[in-house]
Amino acid sequence: MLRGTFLFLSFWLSANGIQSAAEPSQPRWVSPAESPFLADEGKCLLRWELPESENSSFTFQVEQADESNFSNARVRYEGPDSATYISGLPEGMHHYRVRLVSDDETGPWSESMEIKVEFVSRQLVIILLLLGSIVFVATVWAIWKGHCQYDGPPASNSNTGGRQ
Amino acid sequence: MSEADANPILNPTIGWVLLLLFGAAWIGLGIYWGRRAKSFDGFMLAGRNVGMALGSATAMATWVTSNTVMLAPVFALEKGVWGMLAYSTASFGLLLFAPLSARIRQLIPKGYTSGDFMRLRYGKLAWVLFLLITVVYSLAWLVSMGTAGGKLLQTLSGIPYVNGMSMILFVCVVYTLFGGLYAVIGTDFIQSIIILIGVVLVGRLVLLKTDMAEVYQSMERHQPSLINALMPVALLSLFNNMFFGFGEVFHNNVWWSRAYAMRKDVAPKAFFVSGLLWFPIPIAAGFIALSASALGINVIDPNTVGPLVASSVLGKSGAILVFVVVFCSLASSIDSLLAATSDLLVEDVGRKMLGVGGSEDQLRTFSKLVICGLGMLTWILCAREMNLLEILFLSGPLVASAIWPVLGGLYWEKASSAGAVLAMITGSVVGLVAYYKLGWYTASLISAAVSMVVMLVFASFQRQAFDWETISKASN
Repeated sequence: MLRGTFLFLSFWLSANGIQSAAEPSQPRWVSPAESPFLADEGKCLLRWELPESENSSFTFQVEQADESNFSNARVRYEGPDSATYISGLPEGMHHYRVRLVSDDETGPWSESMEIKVEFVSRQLVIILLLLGSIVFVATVWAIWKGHCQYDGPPASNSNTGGRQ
Repeated sequence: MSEADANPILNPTIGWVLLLLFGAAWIGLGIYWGRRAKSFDGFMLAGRNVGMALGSATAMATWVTSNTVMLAPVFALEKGVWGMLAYSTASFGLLLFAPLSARIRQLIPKGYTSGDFMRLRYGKLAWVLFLLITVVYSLAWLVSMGTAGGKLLQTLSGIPYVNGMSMILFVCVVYTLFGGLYAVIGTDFIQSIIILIGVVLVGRLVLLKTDMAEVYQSMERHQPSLINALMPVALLSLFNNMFFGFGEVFHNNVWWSRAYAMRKDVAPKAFFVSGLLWFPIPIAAGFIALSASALGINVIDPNTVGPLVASSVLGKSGAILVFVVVFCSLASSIDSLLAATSDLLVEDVGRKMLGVGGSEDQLRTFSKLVICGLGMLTWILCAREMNLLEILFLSGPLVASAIWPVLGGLYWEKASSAGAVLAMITGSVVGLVAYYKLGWYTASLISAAVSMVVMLVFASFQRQAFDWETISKASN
């Protein structure tokens, strides 16, 4: 009877998203708001949370992997904070998951968060770099030419034109 | 909230003591130096007699803002080595302003503001448009510094954001109010020395306590794009930041007022030296962010990564050092911007546009009211904790569109008013479109390019040459 009541309560708590204090809960992602998230600069803020009833004295472990099955996972962060800022990611799809860890036990992994890094196209980069080089050279040239042309007597001598 | 917000490295009492100590010092020194400002000219332009040491120190200190100390590490954290260099390219603006300052002094030796030049060179429409751009930019710059300062003090010492931000603004408004440009330049000299020593010291100490091989390995494993020489965003930000810097320096009255305030032969040398001194600062301030991953420091808010790493590695003494450097860099830029923007509003909007004027005493009173008003407006915007850093970057294409109108106006007889107006409008519009469609790292570059083409096309069709003497006659 007691066992039956316990199982029923466990089922009910679990079904309503409430877990017992002994069992670590599953963190859920807060940021990015959607998965997969497109990061065109190879950076993003990962933020997660626990159900409100949990207290905050936990250690989290965040793993990163290139494969969706986390076969090549590596720990990206381990500590008490509920967020971490990721930068310097190369192009491609990156997978993240987070869980609670303690000395005694570890909680279940969160759902996977996918970050898709897609930089601006190579052609556009080359065009803009060429454009930038041209404008830079033109700016320096215009100043240099103007300086050489007008590096003359002051305006008070009523010759603001300098050596023209 | 970042890790450091929850556990600030410094005790709030230490933070307040430092804040009050340095605040009292700047106000005292400001009032002391400000006694020399007997005339309106003295108040606005420090008697037009600033020498080499003070001139280069004030230019360098003004350009080291809280954004430099906080954003250079962000650039390093997000874009790696190219990111640090991209931030350093802002020094090219100062280097190139050196010859421009000589021309400015030659054309308008008795000028007051950058607006003066635009009005006399291009007429009313270009002048109004220019004022609009510069006021938007200056306000965004002021508020971004106030916001950054408040957040940093909170991160380092736990001083509540509004209290820290209010105190910084209050100190800067008070000493600018009493001393005008004399006070600004005098305090800038001391602040520049503290900033230089502080940044080099923090960089050196962090370098001594970190293993560079480990840093490299950590980046290779976790942040490989940071050491990728062909990372697109980093490469593009190199040019984008450079043109943003050109636009900021070439158009803004902060730099023009210094060109007018320095002795004629001093200005070009002082700007050149300040550019050279400024170049390594973002690298020294930025590189420490690269070691965050290797040191196991969890970054949550990238905007505070530099101070966070420095204080985590160096402990309380490092946090105190960072606190002092940031407070100096904040003060040295906010005071300059308050003084220069109020000059612009008094001279261009008040005197020239609205006809407010009269005796020197009335003008000085008006100027003080404008400084207070500007301080209040900045405080109100800062208190809302708006994301002004984004607005500051949004102003990038606006100021970049002014590069070529300023250049053409100073050097080309055939630079036309219509060309300048269209260059600023099309450059700004196309740059803003690029900001949203392609990314922030393209906006200033594209704006400068469009503005350049428009100026060149209009100049090639212009028949009548501009008579340079009309400027000097009118300004006299």
